Parts: sequence; structure tokens; C-alpha cells
Amino acid sequence: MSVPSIRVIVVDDEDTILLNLVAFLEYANFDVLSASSGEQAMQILSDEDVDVGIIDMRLPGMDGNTVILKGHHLKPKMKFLILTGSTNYLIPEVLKQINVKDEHLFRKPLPDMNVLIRAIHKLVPTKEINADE
Amino acid sequence: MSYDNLEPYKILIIDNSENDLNLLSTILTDFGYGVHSEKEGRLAVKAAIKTPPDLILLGIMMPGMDGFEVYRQLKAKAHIARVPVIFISALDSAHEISKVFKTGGVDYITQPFKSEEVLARVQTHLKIQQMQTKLKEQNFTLQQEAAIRSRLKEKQDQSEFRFHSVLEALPDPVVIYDSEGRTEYINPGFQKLYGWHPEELLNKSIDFVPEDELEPTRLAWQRTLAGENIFFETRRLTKSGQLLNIEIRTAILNDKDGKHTASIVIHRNITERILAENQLKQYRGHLEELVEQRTAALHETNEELRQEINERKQTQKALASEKIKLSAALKEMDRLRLYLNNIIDSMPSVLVGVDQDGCVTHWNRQAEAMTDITADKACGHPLPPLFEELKLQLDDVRASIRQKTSAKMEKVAHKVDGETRFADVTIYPLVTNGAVGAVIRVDDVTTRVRIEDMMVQTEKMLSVGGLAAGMAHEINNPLSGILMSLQNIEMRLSCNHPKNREAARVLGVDLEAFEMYLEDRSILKFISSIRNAATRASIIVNNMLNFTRKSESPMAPASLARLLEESAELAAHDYDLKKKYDFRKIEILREFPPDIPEIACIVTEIEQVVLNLLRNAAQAMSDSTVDDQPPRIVLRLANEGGMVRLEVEDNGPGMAPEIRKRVFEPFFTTKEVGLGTGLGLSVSYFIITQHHGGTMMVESESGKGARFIIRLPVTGGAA
Repeated sequence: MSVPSIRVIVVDDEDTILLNLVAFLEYANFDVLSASSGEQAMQILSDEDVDVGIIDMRLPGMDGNTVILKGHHLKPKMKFLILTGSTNYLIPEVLKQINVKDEHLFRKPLPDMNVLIRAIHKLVPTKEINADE
Repeated sequence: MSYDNLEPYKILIIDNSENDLNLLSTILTDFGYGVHSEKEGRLAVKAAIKTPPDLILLGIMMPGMDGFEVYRQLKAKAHIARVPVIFISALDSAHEISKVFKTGGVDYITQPFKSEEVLARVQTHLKIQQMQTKLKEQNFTLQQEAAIRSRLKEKQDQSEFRFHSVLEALPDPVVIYDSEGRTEYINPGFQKLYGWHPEELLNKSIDFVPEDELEPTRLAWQRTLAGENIFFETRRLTKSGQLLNIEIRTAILNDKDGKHTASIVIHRNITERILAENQLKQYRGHLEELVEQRTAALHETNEELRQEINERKQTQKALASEKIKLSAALKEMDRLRLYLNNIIDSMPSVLVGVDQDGCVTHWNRQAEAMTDITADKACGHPLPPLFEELKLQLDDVRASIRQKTSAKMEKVAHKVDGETRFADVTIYPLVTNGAVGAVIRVDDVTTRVRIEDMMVQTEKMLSVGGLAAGMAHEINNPLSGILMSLQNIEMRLSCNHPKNREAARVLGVDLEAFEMYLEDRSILKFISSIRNAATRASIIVNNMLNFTRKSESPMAPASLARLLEESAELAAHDYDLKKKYDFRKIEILREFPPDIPEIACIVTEIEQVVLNLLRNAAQAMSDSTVDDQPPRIVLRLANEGGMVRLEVEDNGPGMAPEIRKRVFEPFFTTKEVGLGTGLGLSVSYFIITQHHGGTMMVESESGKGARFIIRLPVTGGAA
């Protein structure tokens, strides 16, 4: 596989979720990184280029909103998906300004993780085309 | 009563009133005076003659001989004429008082007697009397002395022969000087008074003259030598140095031819007399002072009298104006009574006055309204039976009156036209003197009690709702894990995926055989059943969250009548053998008045609520109905001005109170396991109260059906 695959980072403090998401995305041929806190995620992002972040909102320490904002500052081209167990979470205005929309918000439990794959491809279309070639 | 001889002063009281006699007698005796009292004028005069008193208290008004006549008879007797008489007057009349003083009375006292006044007046007059007596005695002595002296002089003149012996015997000092002024003779009286021996003084300059008397003495001596008879008062020193007041007379002694042969000088010691005179002067001055004081006192008394008369006049005036005020006050009282009755009638409470036997004394308009008994029929009778239903025992009323404490019974339930209502009953005992009884106050607090119940319910629901939301969130994470893991397992069991085939090849596993094994052992079915269970849990949690989550659909005006029709139609299709009821067998009555306004609401949500209620009703009626009647649901609407009331009523088995109170709680269900989640009513409750600003309640009793009442604001509420 010479074509560079899409690079995804999953940030969630729940081990089971981290384990399953990483397994699922790798199975779907994504290049997957993982972090169990926002701080850890920031460390990784300072060294690595990542295409898409799948971010949990309720995290120990830095919360999900901040992770997205800081990640955007570090890597302005990076895209984000939100996966939260919170029922009353709404996307704040600051995130909407950097193009995080309702279609990028997913609530737990997620009955079918394929929706994430479709969302990632929608966010990074060029690479998908490259991959198909 | 007789005087005690030991008493210093004797006072005679004459008055026909036994009381006055006793009172005055007591006052004076207590002070230490001797008192003799008489009731009759004639006997009093006799008594006074027999033992003359020091002071007489004499009543004016007496039958037979009156006070003034008694006074005249007493004054006629010489030895009691000077006894001071104080009149006792029953009247306080200026005329009588002036008559007292004209007659010669020294003073008067009037009823009622004040002991201080009586004693002061008696003491004053006794003192005046005493001083007058003393003065008289002294005057008498002086007069006698003067008489003796003049007689002696006559004798001297008459008998020259006795001259010398007389001089010798005379107690007064006598000195005779010759025509040249030399001392010729000094009598023994001189030595006796001054202490000088004649030898010591003869032919010697006399040094018993005090310095300030030297000059007058010298002048007198010159005039004497010149042949003048001198009489002067001066002072002399005795040998022992005592200063004496001396009266000196000088006289010229002529021989038969008329030739001046000698001078005679007679000294008289007048020290004592001067002293007495001075004392007399002092007494006089004191007496005058007393008279002045007395006059001033009388003047004051007169002034007080005048003032008193003025005050009486003013009192009479005031009385007249009081009468006018009284009639005005009576009118005011009538007006006030009307006003109070008005207030009592206008009170929103039932107010019933009862006496101590529990008979009605007051019955206000609210009482009439509540009982349909008029005040005329209620007053004077025992409390009507309705009050028994209010658990108002007559004993309670009596106890409250006796203990003077109010008693209160709160939220007393009672039936009015078949409806349960609540009342606060308070007994207020009347505490005013002379009015024994109580006021019973009955307030209808049904609305308040219902609102309180509703508030408790709302509180409970909000806290339970919050708890549910928190729990749901916590459950979502593990549920997520389960569902994601299942998806990964399923994916990795698939034979088609290149990654799986690659892994099988590396491990030397025959994938086709493995797939057959899975099929044979129904592994995928088990996995699928886990997925189903997890999915159902996820749906429950989601429902639980739904009623706390705000719907994003907009509110739109809708006709509730149409909404009810549509819901009923939906319910009719909801036939489920498993749920044991057939909606088509249920009669649905509609009571939709024409004046129901459209209300702003989220139609799907209200439909969900109504559908839930219809299902619950149908399910309840499948168990039993009231009196085994055919199952029936009444859908009812009513315009309540700004609010629309929506009722869903069934004739099912109803609910016991302990169930009725909990029906809106999440997960509370009476249905068999599997027939419901117990979330329907709590979701409905949140939709109505939180999303639409309405209220939702249930009225029900065991065996008597149930009625859910929803009130929705026409405007859609603030929510």
C-alpha cells in the first residue's frame, strides 16, 4: 500500500471505547493514534501530523472543546468529529466558527461505527480519492 | 367621756353627730389630747362650767340649742369666756363662715375632716391661747410692783422719821451725797446689790460705771447737783463684774428752810424687768406674726373656696357638654356596630359565634353561603351537622373557651356535593369580660392544598428527572463499549474480510470450517441477542433522557379537539394481543364545547401524552370496570380562560391513594413485567409541565375509575 492512509487520533478516557474504536478504524485501514487525555493528545499532535480527531467531550483535565480548539491552532488543516455520552451537549459557537457542525457530532452509544468512517471520508475527500486510485 | 387629768390639754367637742364625735375624738385622743365630748348643747355648757376646757370644738347644726346659742351661753361664763372655740361646720357656705367669725369663733373646720387639718387648727389655737394667758400674767405682776412702789414713796414722804430706817431696810441701793457732792451715806441695799462695801466707796471716785455710761452719768450728776430731780436708766457693774440694768432716780433733799442740803440717789435693779419686757416684746411680735399667718391662711382658704366654686361651675358646664358627646357616642356606636357587622359579613372566611353551650350567636354571610342556612334560622340553635363533619366537637369548643386558648385543625377533609374539599377550622375563645363564647372560623383551603400537593409533586419530579439524566449519562459509556465491542467481534468473525483471511492463513485455521462451527453452535445468534438487549437498554435510557431534554420542534397553534380525535384513531389501531386489550371494544365519549381556543403546543408531544393516557386507560379497564359496566373513556375539554383543561377519564379500577401519589414517578409501574417501562406517565408529566408550562394531575379512588386532568396555557407557556 503505497498510498498514504488517512491518519486519525482517537481521544477518550474510557479504555473500552478507545480499544474498540482503534480496532475498528485500523480494521478499516486507517492509520490510528490514541490518547486517553487532552494533554496526551496535545503532546502527540506537537510531533505528528493528523488528519482527523475523534474527540470525547468529558475528559479528565482539559475538556474536549479545548482539545479541539488547541488542536486547530496547532494543526489548522486538521478536522474533528465529536463523540460524547452527554445528552445535552451542544456545539459551542467558537467551534462552529472553525467549521465543527452538527453533522460532526455523534452521541454514545453508537450502534454502528460505520457512520464515523463515512464522516471521516467526507472530511478528507482527497485522500479517499487517492486511496482508491 | 371624761378628761384624763394627766393630759396637758382638755378639749371639749360638742356635736350631735355620733360619727363626727367619734372621728374627731379619735384624731385628738390619738395625738395625746384629753377629750370630752357632748351631744347636746345644754349638757355641754354644764360640763364646760364644771371643768373648763382649753379649747372647744363646737358643731353649728344641732337640734334644739344650735352652736351659736351654745357659744353665747359659754361666753357668758367669765371663767370660760376666754376659751377659744372652733366651729364645726357641715356646710361650706361663705355665709356661715362669716357668721362664725362675727360671733367670735376663732376658727372653723368643715367636713370631711382631715386629721392633719384638725390637729393643725387645734394646735394653733391652743398655742395662741397659752401665750395670751402668759402675757396677762406678766402684766398683772408688773402692775402689782408699780403699786407697791408708789405706796412706799408715799410712806417715805409722810414720815421723815422713818426715813433712815426705811433707807436701811430698802432692798434698793440708796446713796446720799452732800451739797458738795461727797458721799454721805450708802445703804446696805447698795452693798447687797453691787457687792461693794460702803467703806470701799466712800469719798472715792466711783468706778462701777461702765465706760459707755460715763458720759450720761456725768451729765445726770451735773443736773442733780444743779438741783434737778433726775430719772434715767443706765447700767452698772457689780464688784464681781456682772452688768446690771439700773434705773436711777435722784432727788434733792432740802432742809426746812428750803436749802439744798443733800442729794439722794436711788438705784433700782431693773435687769429682770428689762428682760421680761424684751421677752414680752418678743412674744408680742410672735403673736402678731401668728395673727398675720392666720389671716393669710384664712385668705388662702377663701381663695380656695372661690376657686372651688368656679371649678364646680366648670364641672357643670363640662357635664352638659358630656351629655351632648354621649348622644354622639351612642350614634357612633350604632354606626360602628353596623360597620363591624359589615366587616364580619364581608370576610372571606366562615365566621360563626357560639356561646359556651355551643349555641350559635353569630352567623355571617359566608356561613350562610356554605351551609344554605340563613342567619335567622341558625342563631339560637346548636351548630348544624355540617360542623360535625368538620370534626368540630362541642367539647373542643368548650375546652377552648375554658382554657382561653385558640385551637386549630388544618386541612380537614369533607365532602361538598360529592367532591372532596379541605378546610382549616380555628376556634378563637372570646376573652373579653362578660362575653363567654367563641368564634369558629372555617376557611376553604381546597385550592391551596391542591397547589401544595402539586408543588410537592413538581419538586419530586424535577429531582427524580435530574437523577435520571445523570444516571443515563453514566450508563451510556458502558453501553457504548458493549455495542462497539459487538460490532468489532462480528466484523472479525466474518470470512470475507481480507484481514480475517490473512490472520486465519497465518494461524492455519480453516475459515470455512470455522464459519460452519459458528453456525452450528449459534454463536452469531447469541451475539445478536446481546446486541438486541444492549439496544433495548439504550432505547430505555434514551427515553429517560427524552423527557428531560428540550424538544427542538417549534410550537404551533393546534386544535385540541382535532388532536384528541387523531390520538383516539391512533389508539384504535394499537391492538395488541400480547397487551390483552382491544381498543375497538371501548366506547369513547367526547365532550368538546365549541368555545375551545387553539393552543400553542408541540403537536407530536401532546399526541404522545394523550396516546399514553388512552393506552393506560384501556389497559386498566381490561382488568375490571366500575360495576362491570362496558369500558368507557370520556375525552373532555373545557375553556378556563387563558388555560384549556383536557381530561381523560375512564371507568376502570382506579387507584389507591398510595399508588395515585406515585404514578408520575419514572419507572413506577403497576403493570406486569414486560408490559411497560414505567416511563410513560413521567415523560407525559415532563412534556406537559416542562415543555408546555401546564399542569398535570390525577383524581382517582380505588374502584371508582381515574381522571387525568391536564391544563395547558393557550399561549404555550413560558417554557
